[in-house]
Amino acid sequence: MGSWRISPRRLHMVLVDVAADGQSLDKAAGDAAAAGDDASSLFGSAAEVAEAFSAFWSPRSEVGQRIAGLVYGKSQVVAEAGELFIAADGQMSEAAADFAETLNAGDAPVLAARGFGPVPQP
Amino acid sequence: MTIRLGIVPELDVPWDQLSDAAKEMSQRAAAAGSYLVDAQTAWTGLKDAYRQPDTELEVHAALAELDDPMLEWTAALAAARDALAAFVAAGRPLQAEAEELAAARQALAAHLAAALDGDEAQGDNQAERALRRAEAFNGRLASLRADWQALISETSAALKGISGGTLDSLPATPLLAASAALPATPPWASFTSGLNELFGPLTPESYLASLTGLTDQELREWAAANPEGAALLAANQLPAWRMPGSAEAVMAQAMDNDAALTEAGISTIRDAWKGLAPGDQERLLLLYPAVFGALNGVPFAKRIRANTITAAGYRETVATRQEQLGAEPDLNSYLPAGQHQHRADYQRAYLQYTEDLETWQTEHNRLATLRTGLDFAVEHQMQVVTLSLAGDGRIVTMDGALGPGTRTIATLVPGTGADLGQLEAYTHRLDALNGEPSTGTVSFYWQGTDLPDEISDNITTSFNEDGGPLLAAFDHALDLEAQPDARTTYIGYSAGGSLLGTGEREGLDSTNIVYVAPAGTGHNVGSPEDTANPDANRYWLQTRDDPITAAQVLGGGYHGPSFWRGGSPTAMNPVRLETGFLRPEDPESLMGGHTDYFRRDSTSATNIQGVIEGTEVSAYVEDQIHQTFSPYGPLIVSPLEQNPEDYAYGNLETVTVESLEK
Repeated sequence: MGSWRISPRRLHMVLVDVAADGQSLDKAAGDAAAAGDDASSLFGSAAEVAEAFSAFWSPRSEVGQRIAGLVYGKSQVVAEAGELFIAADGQMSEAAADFAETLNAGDAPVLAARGFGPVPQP
Repeated sequence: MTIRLGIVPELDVPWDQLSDAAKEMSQRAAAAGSYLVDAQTAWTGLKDAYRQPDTELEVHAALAELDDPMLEWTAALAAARDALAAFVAAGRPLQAEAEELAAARQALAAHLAAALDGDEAQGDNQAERALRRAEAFNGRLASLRADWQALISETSAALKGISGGTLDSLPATPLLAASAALPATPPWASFTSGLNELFGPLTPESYLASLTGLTDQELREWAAANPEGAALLAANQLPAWRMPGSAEAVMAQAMDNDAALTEAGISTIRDAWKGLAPGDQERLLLLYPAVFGALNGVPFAKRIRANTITAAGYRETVATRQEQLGAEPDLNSYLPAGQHQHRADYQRAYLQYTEDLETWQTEHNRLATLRTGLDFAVEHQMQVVTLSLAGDGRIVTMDGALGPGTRTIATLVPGTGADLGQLEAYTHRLDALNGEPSTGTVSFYWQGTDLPDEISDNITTSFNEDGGPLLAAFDHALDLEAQPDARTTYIGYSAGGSLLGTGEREGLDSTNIVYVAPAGTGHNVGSPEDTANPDANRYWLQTRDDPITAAQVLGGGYHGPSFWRGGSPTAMNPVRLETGFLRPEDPESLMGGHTDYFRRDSTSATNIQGVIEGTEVSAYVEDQIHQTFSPYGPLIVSPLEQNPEDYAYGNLETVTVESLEK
């Protein structure tokens, strides 16, 4: 699996920064969704327009928040993967073993479960 | 010849609301788009932080795949907004036309009937004119119908023609897809709270890059997403060693010797602050939010910004302490195990248990009090100008936007029992005295010191002596920002009344002082000349049966000039105002006791508001003294209590505040 270099401190800083933007993203997307929902009920006697807006809005109302959710999910996976590699690095230091093989064998399924694409086979 | 008037279609679209909602939808979607860009910018830091050949490409590129869906979504919502804007622009005059036609139709129908039908049919000219008007009406109606239908069709077609930006545009198999289903609302706070454990804690300085340049709202969201970071920053103090010439060194020197407690010191702090570069000011606020968020001399708007972090951080700190405190001690875990234990062992265990239980309960209650206030402050986005976890918690909040246009400033100083947990109750009390907050009208809730927990705790001067200088210092800081001609009013309630008087002794000055059932006039304060505020207009409100009277008679040694003189507010020559009714339209709702002075729309609250705004107030309805031959002396009767119906329903006599002022 080769060598890696993961900086816990920098990783932490990046994720903290992404978290703040992700929070703002989710809030803004939620506000947009609420405003769109409001608009849906504000057509009064223009029933045909209301229907057209509803058809427009229905497949789009959740998109912003789904994107916000994906940012969160991806951050979560990066944190888990970072932890995994850092933990493996710790094992290496302690055992002075060939950690790459150890990681391949033991953690490939774990990485796969975390959404990584082609994961090296043990 | 006959003609029939057409039926006017009913057009009832709330155009303003629809227009606002469509704009908000698009604007907030655009904001979401810009936050995704910000997140992607932050994400590029992974190119340096995360290097692992087999996975790094996916990690580094993971957010890029969200670009197109976001762009499509925001573009689609912008197109919908434009379509709706055109609908609103064209539809509004059509609706006005429909309303005009509907209003004209009845009269026209009557005119037409009179001209053409019945026994009193009018002449040919009249009939012809009526017919022409009817035809014109129907012509307008036909145009309206056609225009409306065309607008409906165009708008519907425009909306249907918008493509892209749907859920289908999201990647079917996203990179780095979490194995578990994503929560509806991303729990960023719990996510970041786990990062210390995974990757070790950060230093306060590490957070600066992600904090700098945020708007106040973004700062609030940052703190919501990073409560542990906020807690770390809130606990951050100026370093012991400071680079000579640095902003830290400049401010530390200005703050030396408790400068924030004196008028001259506060001016020095102000000057030092103004001498810093804007970037340094921002850095200090973000890096040491609790320090500069509470520092007199730093502009209130800056303090409020810093305390966005302080409040969220302290809430996290208290939450952590609550977790650490754990469950209530269990007696069973103290009792010695096994049989044949000596009775003394049980006794010792029990004594230890009761001692630990008491300690636990005290701390449990204290933390719960702090948490209640902090939750309220954070969730209601209070503007905090001072916050401390000392004792039962201290807080000063501001409502409104202090600036050159601020004409009236009111400050409420609370009484016995006030602690951080009472923030919500006192905020509502202050709300009852205020109109809508604005740039013209600003109010403060000042609980910047400890106040007695119970009535019995008032048998001391310490609350006044500790808090008075703090209150006076706050006033000095306020003076630096308020316009010289702004109308300022301090309201001291219960123990806050004597605290306010002690503050006046220490230098507080104000246009108006309002005593609301005060515990006294202030420690060592027996006349206006004992204060730095002798020219203030003074007012006093107190119900006829308020038990605070006992404190005013007996507590002069702690809350007034001396035990012998007592602490009655009459020593300050105030104008007594009427407390009247809880509901002025209900003669049976006479206000009594000690707790209802700030009830919204009550006579009392209305009078306090009258003083704040300088409008009108109702003077106290004096008791009548009837001489009798009774051995108990003269008979004292309150006309208000005797005949409340004569004073309810707005019958209390009012005078202008101006007529009462010096």
